Amino acid sequence: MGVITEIINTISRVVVLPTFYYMIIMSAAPILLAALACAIALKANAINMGTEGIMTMSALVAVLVSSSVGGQAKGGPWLGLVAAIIVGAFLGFLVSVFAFRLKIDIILVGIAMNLICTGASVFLMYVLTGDRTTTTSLSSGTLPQVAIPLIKDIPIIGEILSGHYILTYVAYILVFVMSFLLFKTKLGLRIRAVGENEDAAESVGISSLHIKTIALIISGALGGLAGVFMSECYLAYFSSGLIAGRGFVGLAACNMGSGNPGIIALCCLAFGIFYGFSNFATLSNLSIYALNALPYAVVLVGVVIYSVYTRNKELKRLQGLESEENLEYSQPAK
Amino acid sequence: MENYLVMENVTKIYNNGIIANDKVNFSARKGEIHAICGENGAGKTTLMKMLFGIEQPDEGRIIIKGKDMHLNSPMDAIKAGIGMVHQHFMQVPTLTVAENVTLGIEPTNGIVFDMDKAIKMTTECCEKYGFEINPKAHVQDLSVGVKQKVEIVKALVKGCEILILDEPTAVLTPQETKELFVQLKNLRDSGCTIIFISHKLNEVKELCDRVTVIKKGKTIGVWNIKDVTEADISRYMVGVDVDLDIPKKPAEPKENVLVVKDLTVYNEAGKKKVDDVSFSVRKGEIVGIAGVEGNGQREMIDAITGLSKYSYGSITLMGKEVKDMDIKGLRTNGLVHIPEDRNLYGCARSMSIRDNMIADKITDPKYNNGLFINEKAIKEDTDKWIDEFGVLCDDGDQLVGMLSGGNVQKVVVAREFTSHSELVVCDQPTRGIDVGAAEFVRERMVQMRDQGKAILLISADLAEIMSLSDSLIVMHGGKINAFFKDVKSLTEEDLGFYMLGVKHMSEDEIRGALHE
Amino acid sequence: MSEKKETKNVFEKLFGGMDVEARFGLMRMAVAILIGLGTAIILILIGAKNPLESLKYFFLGPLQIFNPNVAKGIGWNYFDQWIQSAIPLLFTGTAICIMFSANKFNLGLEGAIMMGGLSCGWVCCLLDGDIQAANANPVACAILGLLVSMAAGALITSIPALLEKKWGASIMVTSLMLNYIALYISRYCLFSTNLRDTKTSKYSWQWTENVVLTFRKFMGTRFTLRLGFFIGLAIVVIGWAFLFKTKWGFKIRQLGQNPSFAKYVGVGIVGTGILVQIIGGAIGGLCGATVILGNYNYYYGVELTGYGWDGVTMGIFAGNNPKKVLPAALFIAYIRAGASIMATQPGGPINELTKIVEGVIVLFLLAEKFLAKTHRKMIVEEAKKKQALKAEAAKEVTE
Repeated sequence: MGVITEIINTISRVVVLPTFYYMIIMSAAPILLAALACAIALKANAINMGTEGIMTMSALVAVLVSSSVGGQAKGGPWLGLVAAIIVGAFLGFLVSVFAFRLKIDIILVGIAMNLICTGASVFLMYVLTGDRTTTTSLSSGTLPQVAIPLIKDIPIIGEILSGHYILTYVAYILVFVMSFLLFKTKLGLRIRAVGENEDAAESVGISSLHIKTIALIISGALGGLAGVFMSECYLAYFSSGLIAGRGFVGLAACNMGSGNPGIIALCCLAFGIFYGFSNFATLSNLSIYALNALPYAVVLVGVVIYSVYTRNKELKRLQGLESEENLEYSQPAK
Repeated sequence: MENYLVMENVTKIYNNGIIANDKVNFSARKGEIHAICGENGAGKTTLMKMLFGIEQPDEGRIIIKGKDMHLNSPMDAIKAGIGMVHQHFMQVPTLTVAENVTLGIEPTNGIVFDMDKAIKMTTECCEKYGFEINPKAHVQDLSVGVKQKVEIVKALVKGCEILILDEPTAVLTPQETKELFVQLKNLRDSGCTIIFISHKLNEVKELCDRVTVIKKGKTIGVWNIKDVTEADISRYMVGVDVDLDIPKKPAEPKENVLVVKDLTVYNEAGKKKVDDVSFSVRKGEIVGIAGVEGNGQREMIDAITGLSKYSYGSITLMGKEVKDMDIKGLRTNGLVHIPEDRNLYGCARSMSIRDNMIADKITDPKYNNGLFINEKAIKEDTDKWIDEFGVLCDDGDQLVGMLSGGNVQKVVVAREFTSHSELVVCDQPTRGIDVGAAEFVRERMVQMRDQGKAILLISADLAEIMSLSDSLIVMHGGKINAFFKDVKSLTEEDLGFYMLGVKHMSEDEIRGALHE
Repeated sequence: MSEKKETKNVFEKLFGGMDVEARFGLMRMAVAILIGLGTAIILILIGAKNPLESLKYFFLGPLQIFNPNVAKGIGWNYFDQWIQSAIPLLFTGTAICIMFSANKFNLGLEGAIMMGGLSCGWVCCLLDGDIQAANANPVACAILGLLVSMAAGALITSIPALLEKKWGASIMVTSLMLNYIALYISRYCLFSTNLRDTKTSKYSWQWTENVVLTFRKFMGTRFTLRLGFFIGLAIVVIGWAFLFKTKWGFKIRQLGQNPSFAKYVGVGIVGTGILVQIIGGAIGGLCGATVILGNYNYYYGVELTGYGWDGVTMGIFAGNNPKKVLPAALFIAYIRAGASIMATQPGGPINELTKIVEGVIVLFLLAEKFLAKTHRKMIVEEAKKKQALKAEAAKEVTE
């Protein structure tokens, strides 16, 4: 009983804090970017498990490029951003080459990619900076925080919605952009067609290889963005454990929404809520470590609920078809 | 009338040396519905694949509107005005009808897919040819009949003038078929050439203007439909070239092993595929099942062998109801099964010959001591079987995937025929294997019968089924259409009539299949 | 000339009996490893201040056996370092071989290792630690710890299996999430329960050195005999025997090679699928316990170990055959030990470069199209050779 009252107390203490909501929005953003990266690949029937590695590599590249041109003052973070996106896109392309041209199981390519990228990022960091764990010695800077005019002046709401890093806003805008890309454009149509029935797409002259490659390049670029978020917004440096499984959480969130950006965003926000909550656990006597497991448990439960939901939907659809046809069949045929 | 499309002396030899088409001639006029009839494996589909650019002919010419065409891909064929409706629909289920129809030729507005225009294109095409389809519906929510219409519209919207339909009515209900025919006739009247591949002679007779019959990869002839009867077409299509001479004593059937009673099976899409079928198989006899593919044999065999479940009726094996048995239970009760698809069900290609031969017997105490596998016993026995069944291989450790089709089949037969068995289900046991191996498999079947096993044989090879079976069941439209107690008196012409549904037996005669 | 012929004969003797596929597989592995080592050399040349010295340590370090610093009480002996890094690889490699043989993509090994280590640590603390000033028999304590760890590991990997069976949730995704849940459970137990040693507040309560020593026998100060390595070896052998010598293993492989075929010959495919994941998790738990018992006398699990992912690398190296896990583990452990010895030398580059090497080798091992032309050539040559032999035989017969 004590635990439950303590939980209720903590919740009531936390939900009144605007910073709690600010935290939710912020901590969901990198997951969201990673999930969107996985989503476009998933829609083309390519599971991009390498997102974790792509994030790691591009997070480092952003920091290195930024500091090498002179850091914050010289607009370094922006150049870092561009470089990271390019690197991410290239790594996405590499995944597609290994998976579709050299014919390796794409999940194993992703795992190998993660291995190489985590190794290469630390190695690169060491070779270029002499540091073994973090790049705190570099002054790479951060991307700017944006105060939204008008909204920033509204009490509470301004505190929650305004003043985020620019990439946070980009992440949420990308949900709509991705929806648009997948569901409104010709490319999106072809990506979905290839992902669902490759033969059908090929039979009308669409090259599934090209479409999948494009999807993975976009996926890589988004992974790059997610990486930059970690090293130029979330923190102002790169460290070896920086990504800490966010790529995998993104993969899970994407799997839960079966690649649909709207549902993915909701799933990421749910993760954010519990993640934010665990960050405020210092306000209570609850164990922060137990609370830390919550966001992952939420995603796990979400994945299960969503698969039950899709399974039931599919079953209902089939049953609907069945009864319709039986009706027709039961009519006298002769 | 001028020929719109001519295929001249077209020959296709597959990599495995099978001659699918041997100097086939085919021509179609503008604005006609032209049927191509032939048995399974006669080469109809290969011919159409060449016309649609999926396969390329080794010899011969394809002439469209007087021009020599080289069709290297479906895209070339689409450009040449050819459209094909495959048996398995080429559709993306979660997309809308309009999206599916315009896939590949998407109307765009900048980079944006122009949904309105796609809907307009679809509606215009539908209106022009009299189809009623909601362009905004998702394909997955449509019934099979409407899906097929989508497939036709998909071809028409790309400007096709020759439409190939590969057994289009196989998946349709009678109502849907009727509707389809009205639309196809409309299409013909608006100048489209339709090539209609079918086994169903009544449909051919009703719908088509001319018919080309193909047998064993060769053209038999072309007739105006008015000039031939269903019986004529059947006679041209069906024919046994060689009389298989299999030495066989008269059967001495004893008690029932397998009893199938009032069996009804629905497939996944909920369509009734087996309709109230009853028969039995007794010890010491071979019961054959003949029928054109897609008349319920597949679903019935899957139900008997436990590969899928059935909803109504009963199947008993050695007096035990099998409904709730898993395959292991069935096998313990004496079922062995040579599956139709030997690569999907019959073997694990990346495992060794030994592993494949022993696959169903591994729990037998002879081959394991409770903890470890007895490799010595396995090696001895499999070596013996490799020898006995004449599997051509380096040794038993070779992977099955490295063997030729005939030898793979021998491995399957060796496994099944050496297991404890009461009922032997042989599903297309000699399909696609060489003459020697086929002869061997047939001899073994007779041997098994003489040992007192009950044998159920399903085969598309009429010569085989007529010479092997002691009694014969013919299936048509999911029902038993005929039962012959004695196959000797049966002529192939008659068999063809029953298989194609030209003739029907009375209920009483059919009831003879169930020995009670 | 004659020397060349000699080497060819040796080659023939070694590989002549193999069929083309096995020979090609061996060749591809050799090429992939050479590419990997080439990568390593390049990286060392880039990263090291004193490349030649570093290369020497990388390639020969683990063979030197003795680390001069050990006499001063710092670090491990080099050879010992090699064996030590091989231990978890033996476990995880075998576990992945078994799970992947049935085509079950359960990545929850990482979590199983966490839980195994945690539960074993807890058992030792309770029975033979200063948490309750208990003092049980160290051997019994270790054995009980190992058993409990197996159960804990199996629990973790069976969750995705059951979730898939019951609700069709993707094994891969749920197992990935479970890894993190396991991590935080471990941290929770370590920091928020009475497992935490209130004095150090970083580790759990300690258990007696006796338990550790059971696992780590010192022979003088110079040589360590690790029981963990032998348990790992036993797991490899048992795993191999289970997968290739028992009827259960046979069924597992059938399921993995062709599920339709498995169903058709009467394998209970659902139960077998769950069984392999339970076994894999149990081995993972055992791995966690062995690593903890072999190295520390307290539990210290605040980060994911990465051993789970190592298992996937091992599985790929070994081609899902536990028999090959031993050489694969020794190889990977060797380059890791080499790299870490190299990294501790002044000016030596960072040891993470081995991850790059491993990743590169994995990619080239798996690439179906890599060396495809050579493969084809080998097949053609073999066919020609066979034909020639046949022709010769026919000739002899006619003569």
